[in-house]
Amino acid sequence: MIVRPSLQDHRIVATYSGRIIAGFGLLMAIPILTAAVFSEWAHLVRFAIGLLVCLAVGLGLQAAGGRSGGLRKRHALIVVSVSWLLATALGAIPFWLSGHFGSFLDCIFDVMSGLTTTGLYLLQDLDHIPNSLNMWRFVLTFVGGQGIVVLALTFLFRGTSGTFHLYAGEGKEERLLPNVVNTARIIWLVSLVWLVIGTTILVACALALGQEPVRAILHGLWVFMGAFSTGGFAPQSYNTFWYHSLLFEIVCVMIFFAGSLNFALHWLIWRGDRREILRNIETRSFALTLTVLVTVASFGLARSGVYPDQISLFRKVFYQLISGHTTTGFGTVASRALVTQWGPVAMLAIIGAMIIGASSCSTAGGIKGFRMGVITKAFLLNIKGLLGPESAALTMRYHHGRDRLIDDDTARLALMVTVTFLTMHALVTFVGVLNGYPLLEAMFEGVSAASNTGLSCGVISPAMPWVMKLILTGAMWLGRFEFFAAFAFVGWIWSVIIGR
Amino acid sequence: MSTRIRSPRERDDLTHLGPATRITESISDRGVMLIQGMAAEVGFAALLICVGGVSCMMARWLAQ
Repeated sequence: MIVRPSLQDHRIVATYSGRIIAGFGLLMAIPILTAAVFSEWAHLVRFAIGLLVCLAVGLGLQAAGGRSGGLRKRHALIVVSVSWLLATALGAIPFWLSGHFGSFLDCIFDVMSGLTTTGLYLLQDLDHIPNSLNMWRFVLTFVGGQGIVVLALTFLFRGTSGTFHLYAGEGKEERLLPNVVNTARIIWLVSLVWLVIGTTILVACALALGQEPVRAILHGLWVFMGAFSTGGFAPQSYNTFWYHSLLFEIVCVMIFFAGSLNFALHWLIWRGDRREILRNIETRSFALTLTVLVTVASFGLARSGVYPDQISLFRKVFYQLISGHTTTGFGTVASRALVTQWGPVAMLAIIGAMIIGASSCSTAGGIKGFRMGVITKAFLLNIKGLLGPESAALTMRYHHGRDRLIDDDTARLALMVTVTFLTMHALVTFVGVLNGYPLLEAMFEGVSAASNTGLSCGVISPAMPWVMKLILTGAMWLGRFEFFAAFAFVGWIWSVIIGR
Repeated sequence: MSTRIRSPRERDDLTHLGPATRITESISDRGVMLIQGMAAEVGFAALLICVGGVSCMMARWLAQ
């Protein structure tokens, strides 16, 4: 028998979701400030409306929920899902009021893309939008990288029981410290230290490229936010290709690679255990798959002779591949060139990189290097078992913070998430093909959305059928949560309808 | 001010110093560790670029 959630359950969800939404709304103070600085008064009013609506909804939900404690795991997963859905809808208000979007669904698509650090967009005339609107895009992607729940845990929750489930529900499972609130603060500390240093270097690069100081500061900040959150949003429609700078590309690679590292790994390295980066299963797995995929893509492109010299071949291949592998989505190749020039071999290599993704408990998406490493080791362990004597007790170790043994539970969970990801990729590709797109292009865009990458081969556009926009928005959401919170939300709705 | 990194035990045991010196020493230690940590992360990314360069070169050679 399915038990219908009680009124008390709904009140708990309302209280916590309301607090997160009110906190999310306060983020609109950043674009409001930007609008004030650049005298974009019409946009200041639009963001103020968005802020007021967020506060009204957030405080209203808290008032409806009252003083309800006892946050349990099932509540936490629903709180995470409800908060993200509400934040997406409410965060789209300033976009919709700006007049730069064809429909409200397009605004929803862009906000979901920002929060999930995907980087695909349907915004029109990106090169001429006001600074405040651009700032909101990058705030969404930067906060989404860390997680809006992690943000709320850092600033709004103090020692509330059950908060770990909120944290885990957002796709991050590792505790950096015993206290989950302190763990959330460490995540923000790492991000803010990188923000200061990374932005400074990018601003210096932009100044060296000849940008005027104010523009250099904005571009430095925005590109950092897009890179470290592995988001892929850029201030210009040509993405990072717009800068035409090798130095800029190298700095971007360093930043989005850092963003794709596990926050626990950052913390260990920063506390002095620098050898961990060479020993960790995630970084080893990443290095191996990146090298193989760079080789495959280089081989395909060298055969077709698109890039005549070694340097330009490596510069293009490595940047797109590591961008895809870290699920960033920055590109230095025009979208359609992937289809018309790169061809199937190189495109499949990028698809492979996007599917695998980077580290768990990072800003990146995809299946994650940890799961790929564990599945590979479990596979090898089984092969050894088949070849060895029957009485032999075989074990295999991997290093992730400390030495651990491969066990059935870890391997099963990794395999389960992997199979679910692959199924989603297949379904999204199928929907693309049903809508008339060629198989490879449908697969590329579908995988890019579901793995929260943001590279595009030109399918994503405002003229895309609304079904595709809806399916890709859902895929971004599912991919970001690694399914659990989203499935729990669907289960919750189902139990409300048919439960007793 | 020393740039030598103290062990965790040494770092926690700065009680023989005055409050201002203690805070400065602590910040200094953590700052050095942070810079070394970030350098390790950037160094690993540079290593990936080098390995990627070699593999790209090999692939091009194979393709020709």
